[in-house]
Amino acid sequence: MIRTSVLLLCILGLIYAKKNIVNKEGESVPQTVFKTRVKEGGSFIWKDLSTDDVFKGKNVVLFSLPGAFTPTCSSKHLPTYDSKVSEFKKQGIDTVACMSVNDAFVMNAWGKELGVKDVLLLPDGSAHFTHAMGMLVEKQNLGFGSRSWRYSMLVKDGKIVKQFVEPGFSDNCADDPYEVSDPDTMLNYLKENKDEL
Amino acid sequence: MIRQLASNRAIFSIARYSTTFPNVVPTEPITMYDTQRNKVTTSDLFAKGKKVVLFGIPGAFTPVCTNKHVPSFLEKAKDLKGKHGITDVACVSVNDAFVMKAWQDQVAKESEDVLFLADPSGQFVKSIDLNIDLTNAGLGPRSKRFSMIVDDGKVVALNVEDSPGDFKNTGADKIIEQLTELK
Repeated sequence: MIRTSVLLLCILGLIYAKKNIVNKEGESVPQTVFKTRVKEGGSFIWKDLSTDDVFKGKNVVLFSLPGAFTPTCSSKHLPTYDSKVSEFKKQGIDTVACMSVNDAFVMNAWGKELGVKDVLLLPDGSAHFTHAMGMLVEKQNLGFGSRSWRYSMLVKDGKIVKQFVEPGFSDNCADDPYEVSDPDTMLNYLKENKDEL
Repeated sequence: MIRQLASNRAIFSIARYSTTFPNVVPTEPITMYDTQRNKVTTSDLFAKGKKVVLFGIPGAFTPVCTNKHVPSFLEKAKDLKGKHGITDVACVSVNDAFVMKAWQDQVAKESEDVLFLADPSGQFVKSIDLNIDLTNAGLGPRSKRFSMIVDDGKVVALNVEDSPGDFKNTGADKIIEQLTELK
């Protein structure tokens, strides 16, 4: 009953927010530069990671979420992917990356708190990549600014092969669905579509 | 260039020249959030009868904010509230409340002497013209580094760093100097 109401709210939100999902399958990932912070010789330094650095010549699974330190992201999305990176590697994936519209300081602190080992944290602090993907939504209703809608995608040599976008894509959605962008959905897709890579 | 003026019991000392103080209590209140995700409006924070020290920082978990700015106020918060009659010492950043909570847990540990406030869209800092674009550092729109004294809803002292990485005159010691001069 509650889920139905929430789904209805999201649908209404979808109507009023007038947001269309842009399916990017078949397109190249947006070109941007991620401003990351890495440890070198005992202290942290800035390190630019371009789209090519991350995606060129590689099979990448990327999942994007609304916010570091938020409940679903912290308790489910990131830890579950991190625990399954070896399974992704068996399916031919080179990199599993997590993106959020947060800066490098916040992403690094979050990764440290959760004990993240194998997922590459990509800070899209200025929202360039997320905006270019058509996945930037308003979340003022939940006390955020503009953030990423939750989704995952399989990217082969910079080309988007498959996207899984959570339902109810809209601005200021009351709910925060986590149904299709999880690691198992992506793993099942990879197992059933071995030719894609 | 630092300029010191004392008139109508108002002192300002800023790293760049300014003739007016911002209005921190707009007619249409602006909402921020504390680390429990409760709404804290500008009308709440700067209500009549309150004497507030507010400092703004470019980002939670960033080095100067974490290692210098917040510790400066944590150290002097009790002094500010005891000797100088300050009702609230608050820190504001363009981050969300989840991030502010996680950062508060790290930087302030168990202390509740400083109120950590999230200004998630930067609406408050923009309204007082203390916003800065840090897109080039992958941070997006943020707050400048500043500190201010707000007495009964009116700003009576304001300090703003020239650059977000500086920490020259926006710490607690400067505020204490200004409070002493205002007496």
